[in-house]
Amino acid sequence: MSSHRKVWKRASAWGIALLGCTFLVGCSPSIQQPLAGMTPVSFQKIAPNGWSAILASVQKGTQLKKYQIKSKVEVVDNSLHPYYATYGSIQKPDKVSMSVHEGDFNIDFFQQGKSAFSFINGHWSVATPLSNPDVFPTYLQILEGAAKTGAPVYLEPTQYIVDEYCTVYAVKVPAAAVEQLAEWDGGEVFSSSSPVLMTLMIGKRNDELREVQTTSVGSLPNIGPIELTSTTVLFNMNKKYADVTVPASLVKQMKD
Amino acid sequence: MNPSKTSRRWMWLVYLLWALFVNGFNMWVIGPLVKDLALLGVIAVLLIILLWLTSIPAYARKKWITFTVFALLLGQGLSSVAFYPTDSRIIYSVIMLLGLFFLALFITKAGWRNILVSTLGILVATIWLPVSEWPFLTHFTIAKEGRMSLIPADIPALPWAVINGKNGQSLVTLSLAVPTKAQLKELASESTHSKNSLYNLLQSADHEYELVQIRHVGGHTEVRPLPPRDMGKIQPWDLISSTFPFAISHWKVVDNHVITYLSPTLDAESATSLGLEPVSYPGNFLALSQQAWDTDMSEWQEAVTTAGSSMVLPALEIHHNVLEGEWHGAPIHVPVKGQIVLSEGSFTSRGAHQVLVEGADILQVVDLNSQQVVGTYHATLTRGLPHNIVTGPLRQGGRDAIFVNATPAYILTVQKDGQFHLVYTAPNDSLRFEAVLQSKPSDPPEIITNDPSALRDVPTRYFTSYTYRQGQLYRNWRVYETNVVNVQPIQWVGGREDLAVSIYGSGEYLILRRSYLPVLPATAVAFVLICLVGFGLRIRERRSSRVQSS
Repeated sequence: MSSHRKVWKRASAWGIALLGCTFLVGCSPSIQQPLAGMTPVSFQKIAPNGWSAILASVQKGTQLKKYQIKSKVEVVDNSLHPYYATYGSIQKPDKVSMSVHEGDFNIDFFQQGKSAFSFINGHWSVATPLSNPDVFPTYLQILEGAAKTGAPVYLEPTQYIVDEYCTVYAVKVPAAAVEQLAEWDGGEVFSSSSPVLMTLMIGKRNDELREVQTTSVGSLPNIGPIELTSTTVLFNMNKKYADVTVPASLVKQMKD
Repeated sequence: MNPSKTSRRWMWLVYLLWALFVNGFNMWVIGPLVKDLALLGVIAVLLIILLWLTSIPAYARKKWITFTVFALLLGQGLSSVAFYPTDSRIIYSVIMLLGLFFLALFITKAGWRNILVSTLGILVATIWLPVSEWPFLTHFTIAKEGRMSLIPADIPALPWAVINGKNGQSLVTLSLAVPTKAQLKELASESTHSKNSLYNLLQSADHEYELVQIRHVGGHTEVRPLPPRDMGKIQPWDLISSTFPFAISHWKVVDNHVITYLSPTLDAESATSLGLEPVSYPGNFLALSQQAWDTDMSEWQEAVTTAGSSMVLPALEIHHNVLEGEWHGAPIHVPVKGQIVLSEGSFTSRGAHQVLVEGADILQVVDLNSQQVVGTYHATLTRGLPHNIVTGPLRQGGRDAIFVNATPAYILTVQKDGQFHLVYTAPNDSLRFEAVLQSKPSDPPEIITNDPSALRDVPTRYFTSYTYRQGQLYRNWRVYETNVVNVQPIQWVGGREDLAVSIYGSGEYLILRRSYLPVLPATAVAFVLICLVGFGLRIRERRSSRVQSS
């Protein structure tokens, strides 16, 4: 009996030691660099009514009262992938709350009506309000322009975005069509840009625009090619989560 | 069994050698097995541990195992604080040394002299090179290892700019240089030249970097502030590319130090309104990049002029789609479709003098002798052309190939007639070509990459060398170091090519020189021998106990 117990004890000691070893060798965490995660496209199947479906969904978007948005733009060229990202709520006609990550700087912006504040380096300061904060007018303007180029729209496999299945359309638009109607830079056209690949995902539930991805390559003198990927997701359409409220830190700073 | 007196006298040496060996064995054999071979590696490691455990004679088992754990803990512990600021490094090291020394003394009961010698041995070894960097030793000697003060949130890893000197090249990089209170006060009173200058100065005071030069003088390495008069010799792009286009680098010269700090390219309103027009990101970001570049360049030029330096311009540049400049005294004027000159080389035939030009989705080879474009490559949507391209020969003394770090990466060669050929596509999206190193004139060039394990389903990249043969890359070796970035070939000492690398997420850097010592085989043989000695001792122990009992 005692020798039996001894064997058993020995076996369990070895078992625990081996288990310990597996744990020891198993943990090797390391810093990972981000990799681009764009939806692949195949350009296999033409969607005959693609443009009308896309424009209808954008039209629908212009009717929204409030929504949330998040987007990320990555410079693919750079092996260290610096990025620009936004996260925020828009409540029409003039309320915005948005956090922006630009390289390694974090900025918050808050606006209601004519009063606006920005948060940089740990404190809020008065900012200039933006007129007409809404992403859909420019979507409409530029996608209508892109539709006029007659670029074929391709139907891609269905994707699940946030909370619903979406029909996925992919289209290659001449860069000038996207560049010339842009408002932020005054519609500057860059002669060496390659066509922009746009992937648009439209919800099956309400035909709302849910996600837009762009892949583009332009080239600038002295700098060379700049390849960008962007992903923009729209969510909480007309839901109370999208309400813009005064940030607590702003209230605190103003009261103190 | 009683070890003889002489063997006892030399016991400290056995302890010391084992303490160092087990740290090396852990970095060179145990770690790599798991990192490369996943579950198979774990099983192999378990077998190795079993073999080792069973080779220890019973009377020494507790002592030897706890001592081994102590040696590993001390090695890892001292390396983990190796890059702390000097004062905290000393404090933590002393705490660790004392704590582990006394723990080891009481738990292992291996004798104070053995433990003291081993502790000191590990201390000296980690001061020479932290254990975490030992993986490089299997294929390199370390010409220089060091660390700049750097906040990874400002700049993710040390950038490299190269200056050509008479006796080889030197490196320029950044190091945090926080001004003293008195300096800051003085600078603040002088900050009057623009609307934001005082604000920028005060905001960025804790994030100021100075340019430092690492160079080889008289047989040793010297790290010194870059003399402002040498500013013009570097290409600013090399230093700003990792934060471009989201930050602007500002420069100033303070007491013969070149100081830089970053400010966001966009103010809050502008950054927000950019985000409210997501459909126009493609064009707007090009405009943003152009704006950032123009500001960066005017800041740089102003600083270079203030420093009394003058900018050394590249021999060949592209202006309005024309390659212009001078080559061997002859003026060059060739219309091209690209915007930048990537590199010089011999792409269509050996010995040809050519440059590689890149634009959006286009590569062109321009022959300098005949002054014409001799080959053009158009990228496709699925096989894009990023900025990140390495050139170098695939075969010994052969034509230069083009290593494109797209997702996935691929290799192009150019035929005599200017036709581009795709000769290799990476099997995964993570492989990145870093450099082509002609380390030994008699061997084929080594293609240095960072790429993941073929068996494990994780994108962790390791520093690896390949040789190209018939459409395939054959692995020469792999160093189990991840986060090796900004790999810069450098003629450190005239005549041979070394590699300067930075470690991502830290200010650490190494200058590596290829070595051909059989470190790995020697380690494996030593381990087997140690186990055999252990078994020998066990047999002797069993015999003597049998003799005693009979």
